[in-house]
Amino acid sequence: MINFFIRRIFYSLITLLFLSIIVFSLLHLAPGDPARMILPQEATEEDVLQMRKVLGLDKPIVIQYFNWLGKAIKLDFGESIQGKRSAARLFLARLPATLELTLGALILSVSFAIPLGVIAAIRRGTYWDFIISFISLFGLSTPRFWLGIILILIFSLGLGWFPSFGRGSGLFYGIIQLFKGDFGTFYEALRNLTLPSIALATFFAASFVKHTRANVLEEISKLYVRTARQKGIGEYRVIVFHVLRNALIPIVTVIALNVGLVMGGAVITEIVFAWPGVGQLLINALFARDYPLIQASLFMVGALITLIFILMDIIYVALDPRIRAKGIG
Amino acid sequence: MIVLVFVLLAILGPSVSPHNPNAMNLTKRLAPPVWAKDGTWKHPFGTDMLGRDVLSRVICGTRNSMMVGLSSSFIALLIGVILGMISGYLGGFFDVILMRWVDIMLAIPAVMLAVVLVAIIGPYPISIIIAMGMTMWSEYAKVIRSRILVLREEPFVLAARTMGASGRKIILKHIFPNIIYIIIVIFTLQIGLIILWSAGLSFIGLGGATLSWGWDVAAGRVYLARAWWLSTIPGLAIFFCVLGCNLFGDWLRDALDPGVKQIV
Amino acid sequence: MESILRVEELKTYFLTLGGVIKAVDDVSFEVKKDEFFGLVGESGCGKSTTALSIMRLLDDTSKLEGRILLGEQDIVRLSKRQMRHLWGKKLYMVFQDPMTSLNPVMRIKDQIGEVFRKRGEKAVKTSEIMERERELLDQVDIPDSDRVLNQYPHQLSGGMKQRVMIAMGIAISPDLLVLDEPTTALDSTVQFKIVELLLNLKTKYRMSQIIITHDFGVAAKLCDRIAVMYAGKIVEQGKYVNLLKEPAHPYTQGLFRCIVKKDQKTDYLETMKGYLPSLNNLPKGCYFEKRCVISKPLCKEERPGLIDIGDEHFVACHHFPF
Repeated sequence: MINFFIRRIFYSLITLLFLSIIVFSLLHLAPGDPARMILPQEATEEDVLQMRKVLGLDKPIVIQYFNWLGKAIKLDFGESIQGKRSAARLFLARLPATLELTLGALILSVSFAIPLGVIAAIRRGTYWDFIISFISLFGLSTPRFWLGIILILIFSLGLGWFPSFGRGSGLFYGIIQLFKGDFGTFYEALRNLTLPSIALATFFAASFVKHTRANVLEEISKLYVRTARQKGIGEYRVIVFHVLRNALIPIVTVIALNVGLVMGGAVITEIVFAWPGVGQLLINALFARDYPLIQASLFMVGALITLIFILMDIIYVALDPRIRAKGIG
Repeated sequence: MIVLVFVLLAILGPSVSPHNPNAMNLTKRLAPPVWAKDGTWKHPFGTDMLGRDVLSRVICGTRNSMMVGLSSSFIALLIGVILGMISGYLGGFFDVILMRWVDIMLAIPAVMLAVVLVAIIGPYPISIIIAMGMTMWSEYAKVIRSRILVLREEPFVLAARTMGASGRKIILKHIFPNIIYIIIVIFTLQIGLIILWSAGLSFIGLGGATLSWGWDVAAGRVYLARAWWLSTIPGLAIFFCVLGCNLFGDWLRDALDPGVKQIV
Repeated sequence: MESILRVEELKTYFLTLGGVIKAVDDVSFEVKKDEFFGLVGESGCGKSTTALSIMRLLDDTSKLEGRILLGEQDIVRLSKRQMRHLWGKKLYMVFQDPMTSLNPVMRIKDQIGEVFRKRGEKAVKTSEIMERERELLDQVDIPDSDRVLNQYPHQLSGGMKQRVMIAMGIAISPDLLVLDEPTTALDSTVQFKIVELLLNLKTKYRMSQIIITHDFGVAAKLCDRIAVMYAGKIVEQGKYVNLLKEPAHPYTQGLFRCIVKKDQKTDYLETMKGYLPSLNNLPKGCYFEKRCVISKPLCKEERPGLIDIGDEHFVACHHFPF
C-alpha cells in the first residue's frame, strides 16, 4: 500500500518535471524578446542587452532552465510584467474564484448526471431513456459561452432573477459569514455562482450521464445483481447498494479526468460572466505577453490538477477492494 | 442529414449568402430579425452593429468552423495514431516517454494549453487549428497504443510474423483494420468537441478569423440588451452544427459497430 | 407425497433481432417435497433457462407461457414486485459461475447479512447475525469463519464462493432450492467436496431441490428423480434408479453409454454423433431424430409426446406405443 503511494508520488513528480520543461520552453518558443517587452519603447540596444543580463537571458538555456526551476519550486515566478507584483501571488489571489466555479459546476453536474444516468439505464429503451439521452446530446452540443449568454439573457436581463456578472465577495467568504450567522452574504454568493455554474456544468453533466448510463447498464447485467435480487431484498437496495457501488467506481476516474477540462471550460465561462478568476487572468496575460504570469498560471494549474489526480487515485483505491489486493503497476 | 446541410453550406459558402458578410451599411445598423417588429425579409436574421447581415455571416462562418473542425481533427488523428502505433509496436524508451507526456497533457486543461499555443503562434487562422490538433491527439495515442499492445500478442499477428512478414507489412495489413473502427469512433467523438472549443477560442478573441461564429457571439455581447440576436443566432449555428456532428457520429458508430447483440 | 413445485406446459421465448427463439418447449414436471430433482442434459439444452424461468429471474426480453405452480400459486404471471416476496423466502437459486455471483465490493458478512435484514421483517441484532453467519459457514465447511466473513469475494477461492452461495441458501431455507451446475466451474477435487456437502444438506435439511447438471455422476449421487432435456424439451423423466436400469429414450441411452464406468476397459470413449439442433431452425418432427440410431419415418414427421411407461417413468419417443 505504501509502496503504491510512493510510486504514485514519484510519477507525479516526474510529471511535474515534464510540465516545468514545457512551461519553461513556452517562454522561449514565443516570438518577441521578453527583454524588449519589459522596457519602454525608446530603449536602446544597450538597454536591451542590460535587461537580458538582468533577466538572465544571456546564459545558456539549460542553466536558465535550472535557475527557473529552482525558483519555480519556491513558487517564485518573478514579477508580472503587467502588475509589477509577484506573479504567483496574483495567481493565487484569483484561484479561489476559479475553484469555486469549478467546484460548483462539478457538484451540479454530478448531482444531476448520476440520477439521470441511473434512470436512463434501468429504464432502458423506454421513453425516459430516450428523453434523457436526447437531453444529454443537447448538452454535449451546446457551446458553453453561448449558453452562458443565453442564460444571462433570459434569467438576468429578462427575468432579473440572477445578477449577470461578477462574483461579489465569493462563496468562501460567504461560508465564513455563514458561521457568523450572516445568511445574506452566503445567499448572495450563491446567487452569483448559479448562472456561471449552470453554464459550465451542462456539458459535463451530459457527458457524465452517458458514462453513468453505460456503466450502470454493464453492471446490471452481471450475475451478482441477480443473486442480490433473489435474496429477496428491495429493488431500491439492489440498485443503490449493489449496482451503483460498482458502477460508480469507474465514474470516479472519469470525473477526475474531467476536472482538468472543467477548469479549462471555466476559463471561457469566466470571460462571459466577468468572473474574476484565473481564466481572465490568463487571457489578459496572454494578450500582454506577460510571461511570468503565464508561466505561473500554467505551472500552478498543472500542479494543482496533478494533486487532484493523486487524490482521485486514493479515492479509487479506497472504493475498490480489488485494487487494494492487486496493487497498482 | 443536418451535417450534410452544413457541409454544403461550408462549401458553397460565400456564393450562397445573400449579402456580402463584410459589407457594412451603417444606416441599417442593428436591424432586428424578421419575426420581430421592424424586421424585414431582406435581413432575415437582422444585422449587426456595423450593418452586416447576420445570416450571411452565419452562412459564411460555416466554412470557417467546418474547416477548423475538420483539419484539427485530422491533425490530431494523424499525430495521435502515428505516435500511438509507434509507441505500441516498438515499446521501450519511446513508449515510456510518450506515456509520461500524455499524462502531463492530461494534467493541463486542454483549453489552457490551446490558449497559450494560440497566443504564441499568433493571431492567424491557422493557430487554432494547430492548437486544437496539438491538444487532442493524446486520446488517439493512448487508445491506439493499448490496442496495439493487445493486438501485438494476438495469435494471428504472431502467425504472420512466423510466416516472415516484415514489420511494416504486419502493421498495415493486420493491425490496421482492427484499429480503424476505434479511430473512427474517437474521431466522431472529438469533432463536435473541437468545433465547440475552437468556437470558444475565437470567442475569447484568440483566433485569427473575424468571420467566425465565436467571434460574432463575442462581438454581440455588448449589445445584449438591445439586439439579442447578434449573439444568439451565431451561437445557435454552433449548436446545430455540433449537434449535427454528434448525431452523425452516433449514427456512424452504431452503423459500423462490429458485433452488437441487440435484443428487441 | 405432496408437490412443492408443479411445472405445466412451460414455454419460454426469447425475443431477439434474429427472431423468436423457443428455449423451453412445453416442459412439464413435478418436484415433490423433500425430493432432489435433477435436470440433466447437454449444454444449451434449456435446463438453465428452465430454472431461470421457474425462478422468474429472466428479464423482459423473454416471455413465459404455461403454468408454474408453487404450492397453490401460479407464479408465471406475477410481477417482479410480487416475486420479491417469494425470492429469498420460498425460492432461492445458486448460480453456475461462483466467480461472478457475489458483489465484488461488499464483504462476505454484509452479503450474507442482507438475507437477514430484509425490509419488513423484525430487526435482528448485529451480534446475532454474526453468530448465525458463523454457524452457516461452519455448516458449509468453511473454516476460519471470522476471517472469511470479513473478506471480499475475490479473496476466496471458487469453491469457497460456491459454498457461500449455498450458505445463503441455507440461511433462507426456501421451500425450493435450485442449483445450477453446482460443480461445473470447479476443480474435480472441489467438486467432490461440494457433492458431499449437498448430500449432508440433503439428510440434514430436507429442502426440495432442483439440481441442474450435465454430470451424471453428480446426478447419480444426489437425485431422486431426474428429467433429461434435449433442445428445450424433456425427453425422458422418472426415478433415477429406473432410468439407470432401463433408459428408454435413445438419447438417455447414449448419454449413459458415454459415461466411463469404474471397471470399464475400453480403447476409446463413446460419443454421440451430431449436435443439438439450432433453436432457430427446429425440425418438424422429433428433435433428436437426426442423431437417433433407431429413427423411423414417423419420427421425421411427428413430435412425440411424453408417454407413461410405468412407475412414473415417462419417455417421449415414438418407439413406445400408447
